[in-house]
Amino acid sequence: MSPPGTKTVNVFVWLALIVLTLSSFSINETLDTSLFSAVALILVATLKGGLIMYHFMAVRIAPLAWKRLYTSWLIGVAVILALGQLAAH
Amino acid sequence: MASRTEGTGQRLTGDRGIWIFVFIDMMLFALIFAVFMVERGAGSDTYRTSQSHLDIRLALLNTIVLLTSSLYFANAVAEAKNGNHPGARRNLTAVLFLGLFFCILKMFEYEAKFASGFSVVSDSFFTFYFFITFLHLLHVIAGMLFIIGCIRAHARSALSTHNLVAVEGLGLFWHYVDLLWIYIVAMLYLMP
Repeated sequence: MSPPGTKTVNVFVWLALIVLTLSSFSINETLDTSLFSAVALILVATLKGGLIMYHFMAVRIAPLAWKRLYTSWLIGVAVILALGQLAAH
Repeated sequence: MASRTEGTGQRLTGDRGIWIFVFIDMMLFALIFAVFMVERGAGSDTYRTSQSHLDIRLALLNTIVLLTSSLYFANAVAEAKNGNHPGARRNLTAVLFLGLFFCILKMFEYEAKFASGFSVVSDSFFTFYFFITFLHLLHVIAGMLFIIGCIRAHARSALSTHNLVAVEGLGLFWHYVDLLWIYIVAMLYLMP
């Protein structure tokens, strides 16, 4: 059985994702091409990725080895984007 | 093998195979992202100019559509766990229509790009743009085909362990497609 309130939590996570999405698009609209705005975008994307991965993909309840694998991907992609952005500046 | 419980309350939702498949696919996309960022670093001015031709409003709409489809999918899994087949079917149908809407928006976006004279060979940014977004679109289409199979299974059978594992595994894949889109949008559309 799914625990009671699961759907409510799903809605809250979805709302958080929508707010983060709107904030990332507003960062794009309002900030310049500085490294600061790129870092902000990477942080927001990683936060959204973490919410999707841990809540919707249920990585939070996965065995530790899988949790480490999936989390390492999240961190790895953030590092790839950050290093790529540094190279572009 | 069905869902596994390991340790205190830890378990894999869906089949172990889908976790392996999704992780391998994640590594492939990480590699593609890395190659894109290296190329972007080498030709950042060209990339910024080409990036300015992309439609950010469509990217925002597509993101909201996919995030909403993830909400419906998570609710479908919750309904399936509660044995509510009609509820699971309704949520999966909503996911299917949102997936279809995403595909239509993507086709509209591609058509606009072609009409403006951009193609896969315009420059390396657009090569990446078409390659990455089309590869992602294929994932969406594959997910939709599996969802159709899942809806049919829920329509004709009572709750079985197999059906629950299938819907959980498919959920993992669908949310992963959503996850990929988050990074694709950040990389292709938003990064300054």
